Amino acid sequence: MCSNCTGISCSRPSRKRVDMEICRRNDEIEISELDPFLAELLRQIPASTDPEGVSAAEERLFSPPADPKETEICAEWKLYVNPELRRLFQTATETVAADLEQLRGNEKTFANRTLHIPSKHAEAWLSALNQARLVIAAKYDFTDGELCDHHRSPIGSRRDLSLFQVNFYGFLQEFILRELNGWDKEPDG
Amino acid sequence: MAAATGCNTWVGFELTVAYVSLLDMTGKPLWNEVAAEKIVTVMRFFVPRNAGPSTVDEPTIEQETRSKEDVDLPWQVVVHNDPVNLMTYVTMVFQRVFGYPREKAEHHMLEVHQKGRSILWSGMRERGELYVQQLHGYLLLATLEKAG
Repeated sequence: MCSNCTGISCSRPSRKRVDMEICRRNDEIEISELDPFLAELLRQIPASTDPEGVSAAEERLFSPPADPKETEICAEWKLYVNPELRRLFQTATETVAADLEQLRGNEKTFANRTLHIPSKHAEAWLSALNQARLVIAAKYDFTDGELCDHHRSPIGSRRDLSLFQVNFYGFLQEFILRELNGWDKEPDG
Repeated sequence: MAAATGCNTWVGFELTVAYVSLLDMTGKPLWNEVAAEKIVTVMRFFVPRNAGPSTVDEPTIEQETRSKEDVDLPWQVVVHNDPVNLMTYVTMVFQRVFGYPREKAEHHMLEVHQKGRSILWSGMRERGELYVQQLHGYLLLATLEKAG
């Protein structure tokens, strides 16, 4: 592992030293040594941003701009701003989906795949990851306690897996935020 | 608002390299502050005290100006707590949208986290709507409220 890489091991039993490596190389983020499970979670980012008719998720992505008593503002917002926001979110998701085409293939080939995220796509990734986290959290109505519970194994229930997904995407967000900050600086090593 | 991730806060993962602080971000305001336009003139008439009818001076006309922002003040941009958005992400958004320095952005982020809400800006409704729109674009829970 290079000195500027972060290695990730899932808490579940694994014979591998790391299940994923993530680092910045020049003007891109490189995710390599991908475990098939984590690769699948990455591939699910675009689909996870879809509220799928779950009103709580839809309401979270398109939250009201003011108290409902401010009927004029809220009505105008729905009419003019929400469609613009929808386009903004959709564009970000499409960019991420295009990047994830690099992971196309069956599980066996994931192990050797490396995902490259160009620096100019970092904002889109931040947005898509945030959309996905908010939608999943709204769908499962996670409590504050659950969201702070990073010990929970993803192997248990669909709910546990979704909580793991929220945390995994949060980790990626943190890494991208860090790299956005230091993009002008040379990576160590 | 979720806790910021550090080496040992994401226990589900084992980070094998020391985590670098995320708080060095810089942001640029999307709008430059525009000099407030002087638009209101308030006229006051002063009559000297204890002055008899014969000593009344011509009224003094004092001009007082108030900025446009003052006149249309009763709106504020409020950001509300959200258990999902990351603290570092919220700080970055405040820096970008409002052009706040990191310390000020962190202060507001912590206020949101601890008190449930923070007033990020107050002024004219139109500009407030633009800020709220931007904050929604970053998926923060933000509303426009009448001040007071």
